[in-house]
Amino acid sequence: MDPNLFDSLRLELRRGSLTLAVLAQLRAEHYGYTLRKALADLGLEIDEGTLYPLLRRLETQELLTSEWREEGGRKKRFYKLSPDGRQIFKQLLAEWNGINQSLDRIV
Amino acid sequence: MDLIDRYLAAVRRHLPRNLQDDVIQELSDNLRSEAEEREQEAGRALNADEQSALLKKHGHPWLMASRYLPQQQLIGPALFPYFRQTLILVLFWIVLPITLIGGALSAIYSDHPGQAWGQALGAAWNGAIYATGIVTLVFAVLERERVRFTALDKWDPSWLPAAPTGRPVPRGESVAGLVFGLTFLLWWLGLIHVPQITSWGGQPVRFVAAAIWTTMFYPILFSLIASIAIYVVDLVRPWRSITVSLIDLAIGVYNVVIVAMVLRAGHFVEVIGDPLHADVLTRADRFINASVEWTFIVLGAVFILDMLYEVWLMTHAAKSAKVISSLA
Repeated sequence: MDPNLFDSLRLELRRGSLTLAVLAQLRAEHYGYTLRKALADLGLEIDEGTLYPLLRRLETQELLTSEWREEGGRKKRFYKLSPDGRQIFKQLLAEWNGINQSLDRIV
Repeated sequence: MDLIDRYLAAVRRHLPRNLQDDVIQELSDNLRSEAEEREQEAGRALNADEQSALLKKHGHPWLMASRYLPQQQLIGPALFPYFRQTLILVLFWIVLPITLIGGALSAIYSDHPGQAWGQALGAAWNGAIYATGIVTLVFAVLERERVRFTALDKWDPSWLPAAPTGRPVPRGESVAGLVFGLTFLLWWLGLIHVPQITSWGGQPVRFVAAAIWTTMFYPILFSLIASIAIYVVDLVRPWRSITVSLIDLAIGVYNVVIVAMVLRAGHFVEVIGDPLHADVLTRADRFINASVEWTFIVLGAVFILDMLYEVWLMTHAAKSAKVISSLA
């Protein structure tokens, strides 16, 4: 068996759930580093190379808003859910719960 | 934090200009925040190895920058099937036929048909590369603009053609047969010429077709046209029905009869030269005629084997169809 197969499938499995996790966590305001730490503390490790571009993409899709603020002597970019983001998050959460219930029945 | 500055500079170099300031500022803050937290835990400044480990976790600057690009796939899964079909259409139904026809026309009107064919093949290769590049570029732009095709959403299963019955014919076989058949036909009609042998054993000679070829001109022409027609049918409809297989078998029998008639003639090429060198002419005559004779013997064997193979394929296909229908 291809040794990279599990990693490849795992990546596919995580891909959609990472977006949901980020949207969920940004119901409260975070900047990149604290968001990654908060997710890691809750058991979801997400590497830096994935998180920061994801935040940009979600903002381009108008699901997040951001603003630069100075904190601790440095300018940080704070993110939070936009109104569209809140709606999409609710829809994605319902979808996620549906999938989970189906999977529970299947496995 | 020299390493962090160098990392940020390297990422900046690979970012689009409009993203550079924004991304680097954010990335800088995140990297330094993480470094500071580690320093607080360690109670000291990070050394070069620790800084290096921190940066390696973020990934190579080139990869890091590429993840910020708006387009992460050249051609995404939604457009890829259309891209693939377009490429197949352009390469095998436009570039290849145009090149082959152009090559054939060049060979007809050229004094060096071999060279003309070589140039045509080179042109086919270049054309295929350019066509692939252009089609890929077009679809990459469509992907960037997030164009989506919906025409195929309106398909109706009743539009589908009947399921193929009969044995499949590899397209490569049909194309090869067509190319060789057309080339031989053009030569038979005198539209392309092969280099002539003008001397033998140091003596000037001329080779002239024997009378049998005048007799067999139209029968062989008919055989060539019929064979080419079968290749065209196989190319358009790459599964042979019983009817097409039987027609092919009939052509095979016809070809074997032609071979038999040619061989019965016994003499195929006249060798003309200086009568003072009769021995040279005799040797040339024997060699050329023996060569033609053996060529036709082999050709006859090939026709017979081809017919037997076609019969085997027909019976094999019939047996498979019976097994499949018994399982249904």
